[in-house]
Amino acid sequence: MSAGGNLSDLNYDSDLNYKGYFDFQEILRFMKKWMEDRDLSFYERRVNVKGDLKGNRYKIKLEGDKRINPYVKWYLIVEIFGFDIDQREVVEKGKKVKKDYGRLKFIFDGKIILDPDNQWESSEFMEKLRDKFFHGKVVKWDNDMVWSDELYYLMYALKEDFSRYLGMYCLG
Amino acid sequence: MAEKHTIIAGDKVSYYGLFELKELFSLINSYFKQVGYDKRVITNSQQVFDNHKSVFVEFRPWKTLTDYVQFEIKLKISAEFEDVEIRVDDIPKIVQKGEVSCQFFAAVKTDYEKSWEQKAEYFFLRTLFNKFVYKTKMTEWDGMLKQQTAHLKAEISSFLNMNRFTEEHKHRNLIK
Repeated sequence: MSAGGNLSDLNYDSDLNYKGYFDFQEILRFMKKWMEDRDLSFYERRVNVKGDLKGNRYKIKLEGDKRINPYVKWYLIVEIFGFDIDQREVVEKGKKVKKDYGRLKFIFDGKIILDPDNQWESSEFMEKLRDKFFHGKVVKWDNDMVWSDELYYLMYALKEDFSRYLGMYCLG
Repeated sequence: MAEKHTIIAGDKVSYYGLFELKELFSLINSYFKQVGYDKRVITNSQQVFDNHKSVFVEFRPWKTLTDYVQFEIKLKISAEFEDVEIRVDDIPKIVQKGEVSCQFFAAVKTDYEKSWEQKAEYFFLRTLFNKFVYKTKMTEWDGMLKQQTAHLKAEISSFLNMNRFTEEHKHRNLIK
């Protein structure tokens, strides 16, 4: 199994809570475009839906991944929880439109996968050599300072851009 | 587990009146950037009600001094307000009117990489070092963090006080 780690293990995960009007399809489109603009492959995994999207509660997981070099792969994970969602009519620019209203919670997390192709798993000895020596000594600085840091700031940029898109007062 | 030495626990700044929330957050971010802290926002909550809005944000930036010591500041900001329009030099400007409160916590973390707690002997050595060898350094670090947090508190207080005497009589409520 590939080695690596979650940014949440380093206390880097954070959440965004929003209660108000939003357009859920536009949110998904925004996330997709944001990830694709940064060469991340986008996946939408609908994990748990009670009723359909017009129902009350749902949980959706969005993932983006990117191979930054032959040994390292990034995963950006956004979990969206929706509560008390219903449709309401609002007046926008003089026209009546229907928008979703409810509570949304976004959890942002990241994961680094080292050796995603399991090239060092031909034997137990190679696996231990990889984990203890290669990851523990040779690439430790690159993992902690370069790859994790870059992924963390990429995740932060996503949070900032998304807060700006929702019209929140605090970005990030 | 890393050792946390709390320097400031729960100092508060409260304000009621006109303020600019986005500028306040911008001020906080630029202060942390200036003193070399890494950005981290743990929680960012915003609720839109019929006649007011509510925002709660928790910042928890950190600064790594050495491979053994890290500073951590926790800043909790909560605000209940409505958007209003005021006139500044005859130019309309949208600001927030309501209450905002900021709570400060600051701590020095030692052995944040958890290298000295894998065995009981290491833990014992670490305790001895912290108490006797690093005693002066620890006092110095405590002082540095206290000064940085006090400076941040002063910046936020003076920023909020800037609008204390802004004329309110020519405004209209913007309720979204």
